[in-house]
Amino acid sequence: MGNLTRAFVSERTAGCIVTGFVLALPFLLSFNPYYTSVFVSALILGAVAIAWNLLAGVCGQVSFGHAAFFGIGAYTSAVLVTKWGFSPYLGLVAGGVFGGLGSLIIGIPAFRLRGPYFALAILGFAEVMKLLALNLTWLTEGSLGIMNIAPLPPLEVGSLKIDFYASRTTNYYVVALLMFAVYLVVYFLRRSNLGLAMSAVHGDDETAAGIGVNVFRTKAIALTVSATCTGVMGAFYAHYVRFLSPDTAFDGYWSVMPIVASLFGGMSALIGPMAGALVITGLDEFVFKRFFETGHKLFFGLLLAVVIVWAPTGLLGNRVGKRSEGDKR
Amino acid sequence: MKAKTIVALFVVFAVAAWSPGAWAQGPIKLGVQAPQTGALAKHGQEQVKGIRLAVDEFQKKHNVQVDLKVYDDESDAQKAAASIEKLAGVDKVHAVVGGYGSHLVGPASEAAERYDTPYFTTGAVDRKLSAKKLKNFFRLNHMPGYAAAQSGAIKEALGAKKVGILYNSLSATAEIAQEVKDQLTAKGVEVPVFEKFEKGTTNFKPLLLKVKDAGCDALLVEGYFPDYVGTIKDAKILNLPVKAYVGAWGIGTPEFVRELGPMSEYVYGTSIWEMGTAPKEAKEEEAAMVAAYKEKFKEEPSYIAMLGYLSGKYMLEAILKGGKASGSYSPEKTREALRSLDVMSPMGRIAFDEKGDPKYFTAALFQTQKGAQVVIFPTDRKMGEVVYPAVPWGAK
Repeated sequence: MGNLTRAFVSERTAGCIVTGFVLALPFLLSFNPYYTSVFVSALILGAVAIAWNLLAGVCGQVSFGHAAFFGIGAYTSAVLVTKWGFSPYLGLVAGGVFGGLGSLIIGIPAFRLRGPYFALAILGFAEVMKLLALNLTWLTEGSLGIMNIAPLPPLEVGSLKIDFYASRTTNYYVVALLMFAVYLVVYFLRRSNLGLAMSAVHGDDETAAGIGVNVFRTKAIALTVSATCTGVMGAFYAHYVRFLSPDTAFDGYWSVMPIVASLFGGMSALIGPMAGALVITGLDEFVFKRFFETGHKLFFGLLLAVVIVWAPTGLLGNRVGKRSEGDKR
Repeated sequence: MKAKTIVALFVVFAVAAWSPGAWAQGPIKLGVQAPQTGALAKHGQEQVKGIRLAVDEFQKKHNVQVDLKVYDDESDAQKAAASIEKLAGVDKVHAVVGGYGSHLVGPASEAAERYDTPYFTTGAVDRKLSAKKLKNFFRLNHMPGYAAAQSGAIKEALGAKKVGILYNSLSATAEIAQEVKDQLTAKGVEVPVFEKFEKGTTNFKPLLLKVKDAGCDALLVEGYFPDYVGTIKDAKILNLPVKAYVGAWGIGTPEFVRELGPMSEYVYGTSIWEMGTAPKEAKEEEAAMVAAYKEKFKEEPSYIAMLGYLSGKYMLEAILKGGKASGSYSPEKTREALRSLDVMSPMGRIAFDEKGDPKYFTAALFQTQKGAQVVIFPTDRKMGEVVYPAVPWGAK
């Protein structure tokens, strides 16, 4: 029985394996600019999925509206940079801060709700944010969108100039860095006392309260951290794609795909959502698209159905992070 | 045995050299980035059909092989840029045509600029796209040309003094509404009602009452099919006393007439091209294109297909012209050839300014008369006389 429950690899080892893979991927792809740009998208999705999983997988609060925080972060940075001339690097930080603040606006009332009602409240919040972006035309340019958003400025390290406009590879490694930062935040948070409190809240609110956990504060921190990380990724997206409209920034994609990636990769492993994002992107790009040029997205649905029915814990769910009885922290 | 082998090889090479597949010049690699799935799929598919027809004709005419690469951007901005990475960065195409929607063309045209690859679009009208002054950016149509047809016809053909404008809050309709308002005001036409409505609005009566109270001569609705249906229905209920009902795009088309029947009569709409609207210098080209399109795809070409066809045709001609001049295809020579273009086409005269915008583009304004689209403006494309005043809910 012990063999069955024993993990194949620890969370840390799994993190290192995925990290190594992410770092090596451009080499494996021969620095092909197209595939590199495809995996930039996958890493953005992966980072958002890790952040989403902190709230859902660790704290047990499912969100159907992470597009709200992604869009807030994206718009914050785009507006600051295009209208007031801020540095895009500062925009990334501001995107995270405003994403976190946005989460408090919805979190404080929504944490009175439970289960699907909380998830739907966040979904509604995303729609409200989208409508605001559509109608605050003096700030957001409304439905016309913000065009010509500046890319991240080049960095000069000695004689080495790192350019973010022309090179996809530099963007890849920046987003990889951001993704690892998100992962480390979630990793250390989960290992802290607060992480234990989140696990307790995940188990049962009332029991957690009974053992002295401040349930509201715990949920609020989980949501704020998750939203902050998502906001940073939204800000990066704005400077990477260089165009933003309410439809793209608050697209349902940023609410749905992190859930899909997490379910696919496994919600119980912190790195699972990242692995899920990489695998579904790879499968889509290298397998489904090859055979079904225009209908390849159909396979996502089928694949997800297969995973939910036959492997409900996801790719890494049973293989990462579980300790057998004899293991010690 | 050895001699027989040599003779056989000679025959094989000789046949290959003289076969119709032998091309006069090295292949031209033409990339297409267009939505084939997602919200804009229908438009992107029609665009690609037009481009494919242009490629067929070009190969026959010049005996130069065209290696066409078509990538689906899935109606997504990120994928649009990624498609260009693939076309320009990996496939090393000589130029890219296609692109539909300003939000997709924006990132895609920037990616093309990074690779110094000429990019020619037919589906993005936002002013900001050319404001960047990308040296590789060209387009066949833009917003001022659409607005010019409406404001020109309202002032010159209808002689309206006051116009009420209602517009859908989506990007293209919001932009054309503002552009038309500015142009009308500059021409001395009053715009006392300028109201936005959200996508999905079904009750237009409060907005129409404002138009009624302001005593407008014409009602201009910058929207889409459901908006036209809703406004015409409510205008009928209110018996709105205006003399003309003008829509933006997708109005007065055969599908529109089929759906609305008599309630489609007398409405005005803009179109870049419809069968029979070509200037007289390009009538022959129009007829040939339509015949070839019908033969190839067993359907009538839409204006989007016509735009796709023209973009493919002029881009290929430019690549070839540049190639002949320099001995090899180069982005610089292709750009030069495009900039020197000045031709009369089925959608009017085509030439580009220094930003890649069309110098002479004006859409046509037509009126639905007995179910048919009769172009009434501009005058060089006019097909019949305007019926004014007249609205679908009863002549005024």
